[in-house]
Amino acid sequence: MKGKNKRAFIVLTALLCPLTVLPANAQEIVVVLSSQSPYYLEAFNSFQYAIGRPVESFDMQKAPFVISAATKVVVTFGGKAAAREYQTGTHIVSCMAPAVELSRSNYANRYFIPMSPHPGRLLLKLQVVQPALKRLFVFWISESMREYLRQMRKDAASLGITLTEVRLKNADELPERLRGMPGTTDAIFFPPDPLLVNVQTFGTVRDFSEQNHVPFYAPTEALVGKGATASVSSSFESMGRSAARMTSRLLNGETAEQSAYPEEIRLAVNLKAAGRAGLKLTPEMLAKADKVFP
Amino acid sequence: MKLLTKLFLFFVPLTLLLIGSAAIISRSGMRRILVSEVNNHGLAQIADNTQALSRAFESKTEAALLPLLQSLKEQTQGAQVAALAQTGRVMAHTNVMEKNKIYSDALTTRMLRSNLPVSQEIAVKGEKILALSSPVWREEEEEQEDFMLSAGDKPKKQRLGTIILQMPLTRTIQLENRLFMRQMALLILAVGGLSLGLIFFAIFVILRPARRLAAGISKVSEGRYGLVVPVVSKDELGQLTAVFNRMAKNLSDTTVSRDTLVEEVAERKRVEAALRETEEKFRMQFEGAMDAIFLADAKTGLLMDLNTEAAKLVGRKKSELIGWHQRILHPPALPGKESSEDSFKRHLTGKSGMLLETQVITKTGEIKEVAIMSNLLEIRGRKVLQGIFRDVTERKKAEIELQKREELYRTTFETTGMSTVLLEEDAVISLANAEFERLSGYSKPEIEGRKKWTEFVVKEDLERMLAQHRLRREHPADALTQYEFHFITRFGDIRNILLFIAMIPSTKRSIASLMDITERRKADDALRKSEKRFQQVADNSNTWIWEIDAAGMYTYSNSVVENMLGFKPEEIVGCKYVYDFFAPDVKETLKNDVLEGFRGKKRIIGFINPSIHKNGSTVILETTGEPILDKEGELLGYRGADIDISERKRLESSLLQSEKMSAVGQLAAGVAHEINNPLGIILGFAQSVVKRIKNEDDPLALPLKTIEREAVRCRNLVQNLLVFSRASNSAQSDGVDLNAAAESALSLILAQTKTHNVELVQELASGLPRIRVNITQFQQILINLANNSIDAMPQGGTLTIGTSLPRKRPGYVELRVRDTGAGIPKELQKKIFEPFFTTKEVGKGTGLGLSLVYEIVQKHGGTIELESKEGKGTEFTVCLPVNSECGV
Repeated sequence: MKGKNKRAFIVLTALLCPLTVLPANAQEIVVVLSSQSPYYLEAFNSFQYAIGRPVESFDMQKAPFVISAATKVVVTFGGKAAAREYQTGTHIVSCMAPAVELSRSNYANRYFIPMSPHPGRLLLKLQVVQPALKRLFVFWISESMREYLRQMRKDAASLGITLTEVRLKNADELPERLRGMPGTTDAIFFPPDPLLVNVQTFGTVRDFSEQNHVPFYAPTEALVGKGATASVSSSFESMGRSAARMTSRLLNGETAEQSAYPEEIRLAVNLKAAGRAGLKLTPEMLAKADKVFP
Repeated sequence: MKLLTKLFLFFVPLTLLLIGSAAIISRSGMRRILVSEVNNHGLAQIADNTQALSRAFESKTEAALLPLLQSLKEQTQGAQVAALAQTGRVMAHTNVMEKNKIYSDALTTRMLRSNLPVSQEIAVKGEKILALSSPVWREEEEEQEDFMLSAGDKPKKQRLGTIILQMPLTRTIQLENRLFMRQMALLILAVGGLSLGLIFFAIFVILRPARRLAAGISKVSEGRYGLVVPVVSKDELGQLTAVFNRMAKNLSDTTVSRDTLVEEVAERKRVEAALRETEEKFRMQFEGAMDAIFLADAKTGLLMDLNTEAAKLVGRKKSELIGWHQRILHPPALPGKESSEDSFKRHLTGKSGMLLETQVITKTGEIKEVAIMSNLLEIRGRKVLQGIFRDVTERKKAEIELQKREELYRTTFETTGMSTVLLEEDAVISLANAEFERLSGYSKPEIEGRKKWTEFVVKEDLERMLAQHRLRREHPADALTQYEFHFITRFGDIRNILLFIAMIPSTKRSIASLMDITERRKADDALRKSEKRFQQVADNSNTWIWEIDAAGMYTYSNSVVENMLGFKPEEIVGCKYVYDFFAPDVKETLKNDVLEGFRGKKRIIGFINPSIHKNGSTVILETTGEPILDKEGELLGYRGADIDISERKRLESSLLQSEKMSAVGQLAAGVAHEINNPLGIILGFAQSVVKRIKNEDDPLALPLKTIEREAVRCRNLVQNLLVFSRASNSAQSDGVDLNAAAESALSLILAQTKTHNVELVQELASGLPRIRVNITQFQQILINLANNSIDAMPQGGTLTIGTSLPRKRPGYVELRVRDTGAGIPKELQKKIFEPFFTTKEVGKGTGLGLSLVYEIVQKHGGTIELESKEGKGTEFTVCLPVNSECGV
C-alpha cells in the first residue's frame, strides 16, 4: 500500500474504531494509543487484523478514559500509553515504547514488543552489507537499552563481533566520544534510544561517518534516507502482529516471554552514504536489501 | 582560387573566432555568476544565523556551536562548516575530529584577518569547493550616544570568531556546463546563421554579376559577338558590365563572328546533306518503283532516263534506250489507229495524270498492252514528260476472258427454258430472261431495275417469301432452296410456281428460276380427288381391299381390315406379309400355295384361308387378287380383296350337320320302330321270369337279371332314338323364360353334380327376353350338355351354367355350359356332334347326346359352338333367337 493511501486507510480505521459495537469478548482486550500518529495507527491496525476482531481503543490525547475491570489485556502503542498506570493484574503489552523508564514494580505483567529487531538477527543483517564487520561501536543513553544491548553483546560474541558499548551521560558527549574512536571501530550503531537519537547527534555521526569513512548504522529506514549508511528495523505492521500474537497467548493463559521481537525485519541501504563510508556493495548484497536509497 | 572559396576561407575562421571568443567570455562570466550565487547563498545563511552564531561563539562550547554548524551545513548543502577562533583554532567542526586543530594556511589566515567575508575556490581531494568565510561579531548592544567620542570615531566591534563554510561546487560546475553547452549551441546557430547569410549575400551581390561578366567575356573570346550581359547593379561591377556590353556590340557590328561563320557553314552542310538525302530517296523510289518510268524530253521526245522496271518492260538495257526517241518503245501504229507520236503529243497537251492505254514492243518483238500515266515536269528549266507504264497485258486477257464468260452466262441465262431472274437485296429484279417476260407479261425494260419480285407474289404467300428472302441473306444454310408459291401475272392470272433459288456467292444477290406447275397442280388435284373417292368407297365397303408387293408385304390396306382381323391399316402396311395371318395349322401349306401363285403370276380366285384375328379367334377369309405387272411383265405385286366367310362356313357346316342329323333321325326312327316290338316282348318275358326267382342263389338268377338289364338298356336306346327322330323332324316352339326353363333342369343336374363331386355354379342373367323354344327340348339340351360335362370330370370339378345376351349376336340369348374337365382334343371337336360318336367305353353312352343337342338347336334356328382346351375344360355356347312376338 503506498504512503498516502496507507495513511488514509489507517486514519479511516482509527475513525471507525470507536464506532464498533464490541461484543463482550472484545472487552477482554483494550488498546491505548499515545496519539493518532500514523505509525501507531499502522501498528494498531495490523494488531487488530491479526486479532481478527474489532478491539476497543483509547487515545491518550483525548478525554480521560476508564478501562473496564473485565479487561484482561491492555495493548499500548507509544511511550505515553506504555508509561500509564493500569489496573493490577491486567496484562500490559507495550509496543513502540523505547523511551519508557519504568519502575521495577511496573514490570509485573508487562510485556514488550521492542521496536528493534532481535539483536542477533540485526547483526546478521549488518554483516550482509559489511561482511568484514568485527568491531562495532554502540552509543546509548537510556537505561531501557541495557537489556537489549546485553542480548546484543551476547549475540555479537557468537558472531565474532566485538561490541563496544559507549554509554553517554547526555548527547553532548557524543562529539568527544567520537573523537576517541577512529581506528578502533569498523562501524557505529545507533540503537533506537530516544535520548540519544536526535537531529544533532544523527547529523554529527553522519558527518563523522562521511569524513572518516566509518559506516553508520541507524535504527530506522527514515534515517537511512537522511544519510545513514544502513538500517535493520521492523515495520510497524510487524510490531502490531507481534503484539497480537502475544495478546492471544496471554488470553489463552499461556506463559509469554516479557519481550517478543517482531519477526519480520527489513534491511535498508543508502548507496551514497555507503560509498562515502568506504563500503563496496555488490549486486548480490543489494539484492538482499529490502530498501535501497540511491 | 575561387572567390567563393576565398569568402568561405574568410568567413569560417572569423565565425569560429567569434564563437570561441563569445564562448570563453560567456563561460567565465557564467562561472562567476554561478559561484557568486553560491557565495551569496552561503553568506545569506550565515547572516540569518548571525545572532545564534554570536551567542554560540560567546559560549565557546562545541555543544552550542555544533548544532548551528550542522544547520548551516544542511541549509547550504555544504561539505563542511567550521567555527574558528581568531587564533585559528577550531572551536567546532561538522567533522568532530577537526576540533581543536589549528588552521594556519594562507587562505584561513586571510579569512581570519579580513573583517569582510572572503570566498575562494579551492580543491579538496580533487573536488572543487568554494570556501567562504564570514566573521562573527559580538551582538551589538543598543547604540548609546557617547558625547565623549570624538566626531568620526566609531565604537569598535568585537570579533568572536570566523565561520568557514566549504560548499562543493560539483553541482555548480555541472550546471555551468549545461548552461555553457546551451549557450554554445545558441551561439553557433546565431553566428553560423549570420555567417551563412553574409556568404549568400556576397554570392548574390558580388559573385553572380562577376560570373556573368566572366561568361560573357569567355564567349567573346571564342568569337561569339553580339551578346549582352544583363546589368544588375549600379556599382563598379555594373559599370564594368555596361562597358563590356558596348564592346561586344562594336565587335559584332564590325566583325563576322566565328559563331556566324560556323552557323553558316553548318547550315550549308545541312542543306547539302538534305539535298543528297532527297536525291537518294528519289533515286530509290525511281529505281524501286514497281511500274516502269520513262523520262523523255518534251521538246525532242528523246528518252532521258528510265528505271529498272522500264528496261525490263521493253527487254532492253538503259543504254540502248537513253538518247533514243520514245517511239522506239511502241509498235508501228495499225491503220486507222493513233501513232505513238500523236499519242506523245496528246500526253504533252493533255491533263496531268492522264491515263491512256496503248502498246509497247519489246526487243524480241513481243507486243505488250500498257496503261500509261503521264506527267509534265520541269527539271532545271527543262520540260520533261514523265511516263509511268504499267503492264496490263494480263489484265486485258482477263477482260476478254471475262467478256466471253459473261456472254456465255447470258446465253445460258436466256435459254434455260425456265423463267430466271437475278434479284438484289432490296428485292429489285436486276435481270430477267425472256421466259420471265412471257410468264409475267412484262417486258425486260419494264422489269429490270424497276420491278420487285414482291409485286408478283400473292398476298397470302408474301410474308413467307419475305422471311425466306431475309433468311437467305443472313443464314443461307437455313433458307429453303425450293418451294411453291402463287404468282400474279400482269393480267391478274394466278399461276402455281415452283421456285428454285440460291444466293450468288460473296454477294447479296440471288438467282431464281420459276417453273410454272399450274397444269400439273390441276392434274394432281384431280388425281387426289379420285383417290379420295376410291378411298371412301374402299373404306365403306365390307371388303378388305389391299395391295401387296412382289414379296407379299402389304403396301396398302383399307380400314375394313380392322373389323376383319382386328389390325389397323398402319399396323400391317409395310409391317406384315400376306401369310402372317394364316392359321398356324395351315400356314405353311397356304404360304407355299401363295408363293407358288406369285411365281406363276396367277390370279387369285376364291382362295379360302383361315386367318387369326388379333384377338386370337379364327376368321375364314376368301381372297381374290390380280397381279400388278410392270411394262416388262415383271410382278410388282398384287391388288385384291378379302371377304369374311366365317358365317357362311358355319352355316354350311350347320346345314350339313342338320341334314346328317335328319338322315340319322329318319334312320333311327325306322330302326326304333322295328326293334321296339320284339324288344318289348323280350323285356316282358324277362321281367316276369325274374319275378319268379325267389332264391338269389339260383343259377338262373344272374343270366335272367342280365337279360332284363340289357333289355332295359335297349329300350332306353330305342327311346333316345325316337326322341332324336322326333326332334329331328319337328320342333315345337313356345315363348318361354329361359332362366325359368333352365331351373327345373338345374335341379336334376344338381343331384348329379353332388354324386360326382362337382360344384355347380349358376350365372343366370336377369331380364332376358322370352324365346320361342320347346321347353322339354331346351331342358334336354341343358341336361345333355351338363351330363357330358359331369362325365368329363370323373375326379370332380366345377360346372358353370349361365345365361346372358350375347354381345356379338344381338337378337339372341345365350346359354353357356362350362366345365373344368379334360377338354376335347382338336381333332375330335368336329366330330362330337355326329350321331353315335362317343369317346366313352361301350355301354357307357349312346353317342347321341350331343347330336341330339345339335339337332334341337338347329331346329330352333340357333347355333352351338364349343371352345375346349385339353387339360383346361370345355365350354358349349348355345345361341337361340329371341322371339319378337313374345316381347321381353
